[in-house]
Amino acid sequence: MRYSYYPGCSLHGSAVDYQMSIQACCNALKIMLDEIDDWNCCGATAAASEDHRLATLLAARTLAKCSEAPYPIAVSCNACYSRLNQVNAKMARYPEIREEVTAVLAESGLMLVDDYRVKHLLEIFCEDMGLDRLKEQVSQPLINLKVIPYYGCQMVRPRAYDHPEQPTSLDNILTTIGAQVLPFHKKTKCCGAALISTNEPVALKLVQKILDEASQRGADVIAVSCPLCQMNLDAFQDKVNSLFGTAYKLPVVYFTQLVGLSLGISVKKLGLDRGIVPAMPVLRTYL
Amino acid sequence: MAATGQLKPNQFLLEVAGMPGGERITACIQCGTCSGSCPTSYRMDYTPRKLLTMVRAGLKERVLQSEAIWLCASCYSCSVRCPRGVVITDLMYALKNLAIQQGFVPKKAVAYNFYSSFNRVVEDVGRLNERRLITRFALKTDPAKLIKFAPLGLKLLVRGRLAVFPPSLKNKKEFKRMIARGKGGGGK
Repeated sequence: MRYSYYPGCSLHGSAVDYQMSIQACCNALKIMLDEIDDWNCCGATAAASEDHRLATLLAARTLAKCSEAPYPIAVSCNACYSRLNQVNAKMARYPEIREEVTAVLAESGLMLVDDYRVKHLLEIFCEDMGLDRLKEQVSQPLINLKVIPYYGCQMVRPRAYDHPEQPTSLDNILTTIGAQVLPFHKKTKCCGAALISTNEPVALKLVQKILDEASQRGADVIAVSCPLCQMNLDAFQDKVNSLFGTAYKLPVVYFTQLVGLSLGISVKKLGLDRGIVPAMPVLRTYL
Repeated sequence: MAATGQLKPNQFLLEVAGMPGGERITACIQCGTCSGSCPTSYRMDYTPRKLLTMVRAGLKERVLQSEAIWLCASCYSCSVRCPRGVVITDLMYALKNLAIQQGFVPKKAVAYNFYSSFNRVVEDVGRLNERRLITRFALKTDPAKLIKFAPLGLKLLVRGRLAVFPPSLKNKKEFKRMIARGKGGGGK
């Protein structure tokens, strides 16, 4: 299995632990990731909010960088996944937009092909590699670890390969590595996303609701697949606690960090010591 | 016979319906599924359902000055549940685009400045630099934010979660030329 890999900006910055665990897992699972040469930011929600032309162009440039590679595009961040997928679909739907973008890219020596296959890592793990193969590689099953599978929004909406409100891919991966997956009503409820910077009280309330259900269900950890979800749920827990008078202390880890642990990869290589709420106290038994 | 329930197109409605993602606005049946699904509608001056009907009524100023459009977190809950296939999230984007282009957004508006700071950093080097984003955003809105963000910045720094080398593309000049050719008129 080989892919053109789009890490996205966060994975080279605040989500470096996600990147480390992806690299470690994919090496162990023989998934080859060729980082796209000179990729640029997907624009996230910011570009689309200000200027739809800018938003389309940003994602299209990165897609165009993959035109010559015969592999699908692997994406790790939910927002990047959503942007690349949506712009891919948009260019198919609006020929005039496609024409406009094609002309702009051509002046920079880039060209678009008809359609790109954009896949999130969750899909790659479940569908391309298959959970049976993952199971064969598990050397340290995470027995009795109570995990909340939190997908967030843009992994599943507006369109993705999993169900928009009742997805199961992350649940299945976590079950495969031996963890006890807890039922979770808010698995695709919004974490507040950029509102954490633009309207903190509104975002904190959304974060609080997610932490509340997770803690009531007796979670040891929350597993995520998106750097922004991770940041909001992890780094803002102390603010939630002081605002709502709660005492949540729930580690929020990337699913690849848990997969890595089950494959016997070291804590350091997985960046598991980098969360704001420390994950090691609950994970120590699995080392 | 007099017009029977036919919506009379107004300029604003045509403008919105002409944006990518705006086409289906006339299909809305005002069921309110969007407002009920929205995680932030409880704080909006006009809920998504109301905004849609206000666009159709041509209430341009009130729509483009509303705070509601900046409370959309892009979770797409409304869009996947709409029984009429209106992608309300994309409509919200279209309204934000129009509000910015046509000068309806106050200069120090927080959400607008966050997005525009993000975009200016990306346009400059091709990738997001979290430190530059926060600095620019704070200076554009409220410099005291720099102090507010400091504890989080420090926590990330000690865990090695702030990029040591500022991210950048290989050929920034070419990238900037491309952006200048292809972007719309909205960015300042």
